[in-house]
Amino acid sequence: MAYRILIVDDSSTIRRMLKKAISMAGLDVGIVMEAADGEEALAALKENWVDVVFSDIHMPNMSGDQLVEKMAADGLLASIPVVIVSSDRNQALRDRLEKWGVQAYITKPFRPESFKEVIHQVLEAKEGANLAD
Amino acid sequence: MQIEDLSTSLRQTACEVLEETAFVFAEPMESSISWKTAMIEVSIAFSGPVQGVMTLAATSEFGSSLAANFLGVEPEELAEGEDEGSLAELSNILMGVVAEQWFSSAQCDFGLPKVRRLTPAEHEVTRAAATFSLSLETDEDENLEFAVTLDSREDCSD
Repeated sequence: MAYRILIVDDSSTIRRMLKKAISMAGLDVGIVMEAADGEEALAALKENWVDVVFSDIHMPNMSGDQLVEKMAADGLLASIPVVIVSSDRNQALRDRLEKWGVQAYITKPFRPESFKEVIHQVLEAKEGANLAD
Repeated sequence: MQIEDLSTSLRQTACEVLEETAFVFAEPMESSISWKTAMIEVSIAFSGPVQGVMTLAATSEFGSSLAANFLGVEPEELAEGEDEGSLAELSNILMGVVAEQWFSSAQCDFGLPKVRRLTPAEHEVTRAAATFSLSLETDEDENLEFAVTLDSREDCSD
């Protein structure tokens, strides 16, 4: 199965880095969509189904935590796994995101091996949940 | 934390992050850098027990070299603006790590990186206003300078 992925980050350099990290993780990647902030991400999610969202926290217009909150409140989008990739180590923020259903929080800098491990765990959990349904 | 501890923490973190993310090896310089060419300055404001701004200055050449290392590509494969993007990302990563070291478990929020290109004379204003600054030299003879301005430090806790 080729995964459909959405990368949300205001830096095109970071989006490019994440694309590379995802390809190095050995996933069968189909379509990789990009958004520069939470607003663009929500617009993309209304038009396209994705298997997983990778999002930064600190972005203009709509931050990553605002995006997650809106996804959690949407019956359809709430089931899409979200992986946060951020340099922010704020525990209160992480707790809040976990409550909203964020599957993983990767702090930067990260090693490719740990990134790969987290992605596989998240996607295996998603497939497990799909089978249970 | 005292100013010296903040500076040591930033220096060590910067060296570790450069090595880990881009295989760039850096060492502290004894004296401040005498900039000769236009540079890129990235500033991130932070607000916690102490408020302030952390600024990173480096040349576009170093930014491009860093971007190429981050992305694992040749410099000629870089897109426009990736010199700025890599320096903004380096600043962002450093801010996240040092915020935790400086303020422990206390809440610390930090803003988006603000990037600007400027002359050495313009950068001198940032340097002059800094509470402390530090300079690094890489194994490729590139320089980086950090300037941290603290608005208030009486509440700084361990």
